[in-house]
Amino acid sequence: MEFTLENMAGGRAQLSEFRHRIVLLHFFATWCEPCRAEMASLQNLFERHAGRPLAIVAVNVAEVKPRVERFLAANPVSFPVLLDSDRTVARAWRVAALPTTIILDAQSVPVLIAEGDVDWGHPDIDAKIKELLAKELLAKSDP
Amino acid sequence: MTTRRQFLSTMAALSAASTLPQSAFAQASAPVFAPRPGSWRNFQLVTRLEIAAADGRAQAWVPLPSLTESEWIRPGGNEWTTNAGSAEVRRDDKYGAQFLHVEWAAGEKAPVVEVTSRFASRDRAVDLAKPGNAPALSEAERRLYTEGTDLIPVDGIVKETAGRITTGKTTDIDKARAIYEWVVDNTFRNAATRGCGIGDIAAMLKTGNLGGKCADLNALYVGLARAAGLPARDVYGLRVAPSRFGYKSLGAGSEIVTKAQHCRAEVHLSGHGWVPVDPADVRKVVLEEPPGKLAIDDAKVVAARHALFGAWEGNWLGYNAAHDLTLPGAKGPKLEFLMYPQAETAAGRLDCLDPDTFKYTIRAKELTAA
Repeated sequence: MEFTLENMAGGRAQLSEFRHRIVLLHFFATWCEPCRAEMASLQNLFERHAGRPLAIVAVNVAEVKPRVERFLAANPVSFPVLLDSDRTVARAWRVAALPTTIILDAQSVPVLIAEGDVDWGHPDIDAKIKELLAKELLAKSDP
Repeated sequence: MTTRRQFLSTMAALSAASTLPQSAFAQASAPVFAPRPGSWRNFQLVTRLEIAAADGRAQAWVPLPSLTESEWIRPGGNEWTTNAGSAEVRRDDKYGAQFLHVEWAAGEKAPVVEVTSRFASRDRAVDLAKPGNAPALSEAERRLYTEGTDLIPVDGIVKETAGRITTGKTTDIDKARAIYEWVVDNTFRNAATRGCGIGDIAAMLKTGNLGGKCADLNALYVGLARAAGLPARDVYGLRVAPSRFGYKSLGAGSEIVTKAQHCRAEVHLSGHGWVPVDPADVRKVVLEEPPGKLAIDDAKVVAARHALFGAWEGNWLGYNAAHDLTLPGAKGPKLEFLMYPQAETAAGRLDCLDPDTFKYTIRAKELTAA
């Protein structure tokens, strides 16, 4: 499901920009307590897999930009953060609770959904990410 | 002058008191939280809003007292001063929530508006043991107050939970009370929640995280009641005075009430009309009433819990009972509820939970004591 949302720089970003990579589509809000710790965990994951075809796209649900800016100042991340100010995208993706992370394969097909917070540094989780990345790299190497 | 007879009498009383069991002392000093309808209290509320970083055209929406209920609240009019190009009282069609919509031209460097609202309020208490003769809701009202909102669905997990809570309860009063007790027993006030919370009750039930503040916990009550077929509504407002019952956690600590927003709830019961309920404030007493972190069976908690199904204190203003409000002229999305002043500049909507940057102050003053 394609979408276009405002990013923190005031520009627009589309989900399709991240196609051909494994995408962690992460829905969060600043009022959601587990979301704070999970943001740091996602940043660590992002850094561990730098240079690999993995994208993290965080989508803030229904909050004003200054509030998200303040949150990110305290919880800095290197991946894009988009603003779903009227919940349109969260609804389209049937997000029922925050945080929710949907892992998309390189064709933007959901392959895993995590409702609730996830320790992205957990060996089992990391192994799953590596498995998805390996599949993706294998697919790319196929003639 | 004390006579020998009086002295002996006093000594006898002291002697008797010293032999009383401890429970008798506890009973004698048991906390009282018992709002009763009495004299009306008149209040003045001054909301001053300054847009610190005005960049281009700016606009603001300031909530105004909108509810008129003969038993407990009477708006007394609004006045304002502003350097805006226009300021107009607007009313949403669905719920009747009123607010002042203020628009400043792009050249205004220091947008400011000061709104003075007056209202009268008093305690409420509904005697649920006696049959009442309150009028029934119209079909349209019943529909409005039993339907779902964006964040308060009345189907799915909310309906399932309401069904479990009210199993075996045959009367509406029993169902309403069972939901109240369930919310008190199963939720908690989370001091880390910003503002009053957001009230995403399906997410609360789905994740099992039942912590939050009034907009979460009382929205949960409203959603469960609606899902059980009982008309219910959140009333979004502001604490404006200390509690007369000595509960520090249930009143405003000073005239500055900028961060004293509080929403309560009502359930409509046949014959009794709108009945006040506030399970969120029971959880607030548990967490915050000195010395703090009280046990659920602490006497202060027990007294508040007993009273807050059927009564509330008139030290509070109820602005409105609106959900999913579209602000006229706004670029930003609709609001879950209107309890805080709102504003937008060319850069977008400001953070209403950050009054110091926004910025706004709200002062409340009692004009005439009962």
